[in-house]
Amino acid sequence: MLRAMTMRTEPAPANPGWMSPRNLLIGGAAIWCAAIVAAPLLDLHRVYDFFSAICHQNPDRSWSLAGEPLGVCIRCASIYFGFLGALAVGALPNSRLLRAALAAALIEFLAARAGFDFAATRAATGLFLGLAAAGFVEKGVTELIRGRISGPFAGASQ
Amino acid sequence: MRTCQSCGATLAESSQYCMQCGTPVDAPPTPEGTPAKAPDTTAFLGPAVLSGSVMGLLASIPLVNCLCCAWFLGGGGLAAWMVGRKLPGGARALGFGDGAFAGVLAGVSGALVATLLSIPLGMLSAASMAEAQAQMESVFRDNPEIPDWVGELMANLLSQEFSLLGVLIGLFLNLLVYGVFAMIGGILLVAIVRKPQT
Repeated sequence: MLRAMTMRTEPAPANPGWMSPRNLLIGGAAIWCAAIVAAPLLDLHRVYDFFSAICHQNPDRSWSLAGEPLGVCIRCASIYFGFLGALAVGALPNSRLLRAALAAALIEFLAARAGFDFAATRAATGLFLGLAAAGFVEKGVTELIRGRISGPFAGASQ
Repeated sequence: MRTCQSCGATLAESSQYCMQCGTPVDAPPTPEGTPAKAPDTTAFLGPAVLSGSVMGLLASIPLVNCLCCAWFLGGGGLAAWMVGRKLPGGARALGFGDGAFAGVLAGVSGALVATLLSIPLGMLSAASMAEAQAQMESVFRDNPEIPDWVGELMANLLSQEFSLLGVLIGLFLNLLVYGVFAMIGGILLVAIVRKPQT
């Protein structure tokens, strides 16, 4: 796990380009997470509506900010924040770690159905899953852009 | 010392797969880091349309859609798996970019299906809301002691207009959500099926 969380050690490219796939991914994830936090702070109903397609938004299962629930539940928020954090530090992909995170999330989900439902475990397993998935998503997006999409993004490094 | 051609991680001498990213050690390197034999684009269309249609249908049906983003992730994963079935090595032979591509196509297909389904569902919903609104107005007429602002509030809550602009906005948002999550589903499917061996 520690190995997977290690930051990249190779030297940065001479001219990485701000529109690299990694930077685009970090920017998108940052906007996504900012929207989750901004929804209660700025009372953005449209943002709640948007996230309702991908989250149950049960206030009892969500963190609150300024007395209002975040745009998504604790599990979803943890996944997204973990994902953003892993992208920011440049965590490397690790397939064993990903399988462990998926197994932990599945066990937690089933345990919650059986009555062992705690906010801390939802947050921990969600965070773990977001951290483990980020490296693979970055890799997939990079390969997708370089391999299948031509244009200004294709030549960007990192 | 051997290193992974894909991610640069150090490899053990006996490793057949990279322990970090799952890339086969014997896979020939390519300048762009993409798989050596990427499937042709046409190979993605059938699986993407099929899995996307299933995804869009399941995610649109009330009660069935209670699994949040699981349908989107699952649809993308299903598309990648179906594309991989056509290859000699199965889904393990897919690159992460292939999984992402299969997922994006499935997401687009799912978004189109979901948006098309939302038209009749929206019309039905608008019709039932209009009926409820008429009943509510009748109740307010019969009970003059109810404050006007309550009536206005209820009228606003029940007014659900169905418009072309709403459908287009819905299509844009569906493309965003379905595309992103299905893409992630396709990538994660590839990451899971690539078994690291020591």
